[in-house]
Amino acid sequence: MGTPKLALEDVSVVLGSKLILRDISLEVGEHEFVCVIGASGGGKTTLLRTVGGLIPAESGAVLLDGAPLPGPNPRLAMVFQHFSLFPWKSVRANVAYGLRVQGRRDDAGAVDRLLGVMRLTEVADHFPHQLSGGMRQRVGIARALAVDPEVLLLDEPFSAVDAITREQLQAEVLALWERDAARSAVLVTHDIDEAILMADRVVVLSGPPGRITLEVPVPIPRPRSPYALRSHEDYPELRARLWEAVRAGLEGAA
Amino acid sequence: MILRWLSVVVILLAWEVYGRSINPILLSYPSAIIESSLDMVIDGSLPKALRESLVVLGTGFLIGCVAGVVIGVLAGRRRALAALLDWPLNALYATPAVALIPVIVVWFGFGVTAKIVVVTLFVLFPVLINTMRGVQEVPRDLIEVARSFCSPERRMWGDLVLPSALPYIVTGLRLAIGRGLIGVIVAEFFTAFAGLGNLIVTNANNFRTARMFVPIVIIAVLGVATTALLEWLERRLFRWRRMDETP
Repeated sequence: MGTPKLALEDVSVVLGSKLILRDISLEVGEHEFVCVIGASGGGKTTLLRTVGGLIPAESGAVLLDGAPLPGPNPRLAMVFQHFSLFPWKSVRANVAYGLRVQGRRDDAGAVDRLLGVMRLTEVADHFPHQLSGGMRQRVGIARALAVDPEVLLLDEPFSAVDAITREQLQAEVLALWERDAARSAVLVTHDIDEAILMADRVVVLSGPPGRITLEVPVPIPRPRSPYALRSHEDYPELRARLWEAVRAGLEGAA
Repeated sequence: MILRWLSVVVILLAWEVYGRSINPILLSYPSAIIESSLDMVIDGSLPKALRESLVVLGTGFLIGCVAGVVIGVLAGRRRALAALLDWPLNALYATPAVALIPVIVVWFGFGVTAKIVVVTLFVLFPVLINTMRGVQEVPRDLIEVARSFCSPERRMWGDLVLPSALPYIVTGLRLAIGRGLIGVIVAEFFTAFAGLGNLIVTNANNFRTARMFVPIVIIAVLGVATTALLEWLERRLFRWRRMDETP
């Protein structure tokens, strides 16, 4: 199998004086989509932010291609839960942000291409406040993809938009992902169906302090769609197992 | 816009009618004031006073704003400096700057320097305090975005700190204009015989009420004009903040 794209080795994280994550070990392969689910307050977001280099690990290490990641790295890019766009930058400037601060030129026209893919071309000169929540997250996703990251980190990216927009965005990201050759992804969510839909492998995080209590592959073949998913023969059992694990984590914490 | 001009016309008309029925020593009226202002332009006293006041106002405003922004940015970024400045700053801000004028006169004399110092003091605090707050209130989530995308520290200034602090700074400037105008006039009341403030005092002392009102009107117009200019600048600068276009 060789070296995994991304690996966490016995990572523990302390914030303030509180242990948030305890001895997390996780591997994400090349072009693998891993979803981390769990109840709120279980450390999911902390886990993602640690991988993204925004929070230092107390002990253990985060490895990219076997080499330790001491902090934020341009080969990873993050999509934020509350979009976190620059309100004073146009849609286009927001999408181009990563390339610009990393001093890279957009020779391949990635910004224009992504504006097209995320259906933002018509609003490219608008400011974020003029867009709906769903459109704003499209900008957030395009901004992360523009730097062509090897690992895409998604922090509950669809939780702040309405249900219909959520399904739309899930389908779009899924399709984009399945077409994309060499990119790994870690998505954090509290939505079990979302995890099954998107992931090659689902990891259940229970806490606090957060630790991995279940790891299951999703055997449903790609390309997937939200409708075909629910009628797949493995779906009910998988969903029940995950739900059971999430609930056990909740009770363990209480 | 029509309503704004209407208010001006109504006030002027009412003033004119009422003012004519009153002893001209107590209150003047618009047409007399316009007449006096022409006289004062011809005899040169008004242009001279205006020039003197504008030099003081401009210099003091510039020094106060630059110092305010620079100190404010530094204090906003360095917590130690902010803590150091906190109490003295609030004490000075709360003290009516007018109370300091006699001291300033003792230190700097009655000349232009003293007046510039007064205006600078009047202008400095609103700019400084607003700038500091603006720099401190850079959204934390955007700082994370910048870090996450590996932005170098110096780029964060242009991408983040300045754009988010700018509305606060402009608010500071807006407050500073009003306070700056007060500063000039009060300083001229207390110090050397020059400027619009002096023109008010001397004409009042000689019961030339119409002449006394000329500088007052000019100050009012100056205040309105500079505020309008700043509002225009704000609209140009903060297109991204206009909420009325939200669908």
